[in-house]
Amino acid sequence: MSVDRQAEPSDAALLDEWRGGALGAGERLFRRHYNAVERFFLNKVAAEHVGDLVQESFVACVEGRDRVSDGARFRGYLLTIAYRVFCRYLRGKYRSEAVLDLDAISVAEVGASPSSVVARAREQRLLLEGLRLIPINYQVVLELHYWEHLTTTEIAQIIGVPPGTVRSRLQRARDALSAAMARVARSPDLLESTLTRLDDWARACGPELVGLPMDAR
Amino acid sequence: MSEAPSIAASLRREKVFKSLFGRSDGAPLTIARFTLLECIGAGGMGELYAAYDAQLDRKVAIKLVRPDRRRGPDSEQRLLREAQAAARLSHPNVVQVYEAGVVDGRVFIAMEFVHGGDLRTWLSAAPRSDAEILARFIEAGRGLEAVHEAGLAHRDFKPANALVGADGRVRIVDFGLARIVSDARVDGEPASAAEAQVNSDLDLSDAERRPLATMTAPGTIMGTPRYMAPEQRRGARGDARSDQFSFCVALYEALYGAPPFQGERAEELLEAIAAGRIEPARRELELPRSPRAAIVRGLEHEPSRRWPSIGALLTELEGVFVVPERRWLKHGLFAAALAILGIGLGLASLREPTPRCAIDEQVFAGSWDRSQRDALVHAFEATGSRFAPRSAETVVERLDAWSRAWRTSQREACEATWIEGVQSEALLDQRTACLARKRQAFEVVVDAFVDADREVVARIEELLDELPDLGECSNPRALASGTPMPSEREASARVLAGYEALARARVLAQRGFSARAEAVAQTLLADPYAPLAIEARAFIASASIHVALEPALLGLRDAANAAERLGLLELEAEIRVRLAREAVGDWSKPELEAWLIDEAELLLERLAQPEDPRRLVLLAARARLHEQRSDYAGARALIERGLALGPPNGPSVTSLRLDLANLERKLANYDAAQAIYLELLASLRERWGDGHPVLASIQYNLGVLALDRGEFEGAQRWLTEARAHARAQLGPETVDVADIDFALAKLALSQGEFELARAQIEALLPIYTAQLGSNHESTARAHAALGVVQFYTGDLAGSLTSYRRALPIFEQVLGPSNDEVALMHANIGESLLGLGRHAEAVEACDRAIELLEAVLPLDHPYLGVPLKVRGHALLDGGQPSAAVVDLERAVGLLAAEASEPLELADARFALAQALLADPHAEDLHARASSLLTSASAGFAALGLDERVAAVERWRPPAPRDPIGPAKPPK
Repeated sequence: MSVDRQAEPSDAALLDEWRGGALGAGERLFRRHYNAVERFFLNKVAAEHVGDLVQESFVACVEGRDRVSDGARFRGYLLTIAYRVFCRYLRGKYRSEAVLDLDAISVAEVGASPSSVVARAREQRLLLEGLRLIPINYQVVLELHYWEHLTTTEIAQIIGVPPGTVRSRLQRARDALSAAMARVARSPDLLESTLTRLDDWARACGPELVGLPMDAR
Repeated sequence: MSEAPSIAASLRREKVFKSLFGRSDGAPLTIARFTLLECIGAGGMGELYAAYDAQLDRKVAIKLVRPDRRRGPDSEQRLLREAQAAARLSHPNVVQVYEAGVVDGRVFIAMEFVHGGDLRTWLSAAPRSDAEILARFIEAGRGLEAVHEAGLAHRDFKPANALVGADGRVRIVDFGLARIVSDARVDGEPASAAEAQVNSDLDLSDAERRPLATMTAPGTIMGTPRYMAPEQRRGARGDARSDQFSFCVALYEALYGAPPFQGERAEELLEAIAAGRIEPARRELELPRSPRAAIVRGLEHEPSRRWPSIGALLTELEGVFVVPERRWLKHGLFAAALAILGIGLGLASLREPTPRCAIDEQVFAGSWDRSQRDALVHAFEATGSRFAPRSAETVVERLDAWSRAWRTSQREACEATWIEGVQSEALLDQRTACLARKRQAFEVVVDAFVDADREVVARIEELLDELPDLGECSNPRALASGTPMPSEREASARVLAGYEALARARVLAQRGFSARAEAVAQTLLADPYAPLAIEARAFIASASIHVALEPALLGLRDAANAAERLGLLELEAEIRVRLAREAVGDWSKPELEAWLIDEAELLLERLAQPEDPRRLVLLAARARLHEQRSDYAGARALIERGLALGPPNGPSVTSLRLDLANLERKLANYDAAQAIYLELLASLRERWGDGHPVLASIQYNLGVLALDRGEFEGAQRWLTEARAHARAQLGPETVDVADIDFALAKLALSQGEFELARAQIEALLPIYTAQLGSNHESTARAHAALGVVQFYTGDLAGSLTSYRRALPIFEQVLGPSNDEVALMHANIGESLLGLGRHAEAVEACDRAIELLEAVLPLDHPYLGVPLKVRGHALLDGGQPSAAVVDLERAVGLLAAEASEPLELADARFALAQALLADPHAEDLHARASSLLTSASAGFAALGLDERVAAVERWRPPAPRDPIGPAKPPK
């Protein structure tokens, strides 16, 4: 993920070029950031929608007007868009619900039936499951933190909260996650082993998100 | 650490890329020769992709099966084999599998791409009527049936696995793919630890619960437990019966809105299934009859208590659609339309573009249904015969089998046009019309049985023979040669009614009401529908066979020619076969009879109907011809060929085996013959019950066999039994009884009871003459036998007359060099001898012996009597030396055979006389003496005291009183 600024154009530059009509630039941006966007949706929506939402995010990106001044902040920008696309998706899908409070409601409750990811280890499994059981914003915060290594500022921007609150959110999110995992884990040993190395497990999940979709109905 | 992205993920990425940038990022994804287009679904067993087959230029669907790392390559191989077996299956209700293989260690299956959704989505997409739901499920069931017939099982049937195409057709998919893994007990292997753990790791509440399909550890596959049969849950591999269970669960759920078994957890559910605790129906179904009972049976816990096959279940379900009181279905006019479900029964809600070919269960209502069955059994039992119940059972079986075969035939005909699209509507109409006629004939036979009296029960095999053969209706050559039915309703109704009348006439004739039968047929002679008129003509001709053979045969031939002129191949074949059968053996014109058989065979060849039962008939006829020519070996070969052809049961086979046994008897293979007779007796008894008159013919044959072997007591027993049965059931004036009486007469004759024999033969001769004609072989034999009796009672002139009546018939029927003709000459010789006409006697015997020696081995017993007679004649004619030669041979031959003690005694007596008269044989007087003793004893054993006395008179005085030979007294 490190960018050699000498040899490679920055994300920001590519974005400008792409917006200017240079598809090649867009392709390169795509190759750099596709996985991140895919990961974002994989643990939240059903497999058949992931592709569309990813596409929507990229489209919104190229059609947007916001400028990304610092090349390195492109990913955050992209994920912000992804988050908004996700919210719009939820609203569109569950129109009957009252305004969705993503601080309270979880993916599981919304019944979004995310694709089930086949993770290698039981701990990862438990973790992914737990993430779906906590309020969506907590889930986002944790995933962005562990998988995308974004700064608290970036995370704040994505979910639209004051930057200073992110750290405490992270903490509360971790607690919520532990509680959720405790509730569903039948084996105390499993829970134990997951929690002990929560960070490790969480980090490993991201790049390893194989994303083998399953019919979730 | 991280894995390569899955194909689905790659496809997804590819798709997004393409939509953003208008081109592919890298090479398109392929599996074997197929180019993947997009991921169109994912399930418990793998993903489904739309793909393109460049080679055949078509869109296909590819299922990429989830690898099961735990089970290893074996399960993969098995899956592959099953998929390849599935590829050989071609059925409208089964998704066509094109190909299966392995790529990157994963099994893929390329199949037909079906536009449309699955049954699950169809059910929830809009409110569906119960009839529609049931109809769709029946289609899915037909697909399952096809899979089972191919030796496979689905193992994971559920609505999601039944696709509903845009063309409205239901096709099942994903059969055999399910690999059910249950807790820790799979085929004896431990489940993977990870699999087991996954279940136990996570404890989600209902709100959080996702279907078990998501709860998998790497490499595991789970089936859909809701539809799983209990034996599958316990780890057994699924089979056809468990498919049935799943099918019924799904159907129940679809119709009643809730699954049949409820239970909070797995154990409760299993317990409910085991106890058969099915939820009470939540709603009334809107169907003419209820399918509940049929479905419930499929939900039995014990697989063996479910339906024996899914086909049986489907037949029951199809029966649900028909309103019970449609009796007018019986008249078959709308059989074609109504056999196609949804048309004519007012199920307009089906809105299908193509009709279904469900069987109209009610087509036999009123004609062969439960109440008819009961009436039949009752009628049989009312005859009071003790074999009636068994006969009734067998008849019911046969009628059931026939009606099943008919239904299958009708359905196949329908499917060929509407489902498979390989047959024109016009041809379907013809087949349906053909089947309608056959059904009518069937119903007529059924009526006869339901109305049974003793006569019917006695003629059971002949009547069953009237059940029409269905082969014609599926034989394109037969159908092509038919005349299409008139198109106006009235006209076609009239034709159908005409065929029914003809069928009734046939049955009437079988039951002995020939006058009535003929009257019925007469009314059809002028029908404008030519095939019907010709058939009526043929029937009338054959009905008068027993009255006057030749005119009847000519009438049949005329009818056959008429059919030929109109190009009615099937009808012509039918008539010519009948002609051959009636003519052979009875017409006394063997060359012509052979030609008739040839012509008929030619027609059957042209028709080329597979398994045509008429071939057997012709083979039997030819065999009979050979037999009459004394070519017994040839006859046997033909019969064996016939037996090899046909099915193991049925009246034509019975009569063939009987023919074979008779042949063996004539060939003097007595043991072989006896074995067959006894076998036949046992199987007929089994089929028709003890005491049935049909057994009488076998008993008769056993009697004749015993007679041939000289086992007089045995013969008496068998024949008496046969006679009792036949007389009781058939009446005294029938040929069958006459035949038995004849055998009894011969028995009496062999035992020297001449008066009895004469009385018996004189009594039966008129029956033969009346029933068979005065030129029939049997009549001739009766005359011959009478001649023998007359001879032995001293009416020599009478015997000559009788023999001379028999001889020309034998010569004509059997051929001039037949051994029986020879024996007749010998008998004539004997009578001439008795009348003192020695020279003529010698001449007659010369003829006899010449004929016999030409066809028989020199030591054949038949030569005994003619040699004896000639010897006697020579002796009387004053040629004792020549006489001795003949008589020595005669005694030798007759002594070897036990069956003619009278002849033997006679021959010995004659030889003794010859020896005594022969001037060159003076040193053989001792021998002559002992011969006389034996002869005397022989006569005494037969109670012929006069003869004994005659022998004694010949005894030369003691050697101390040598006197020249006395003149033989006369």
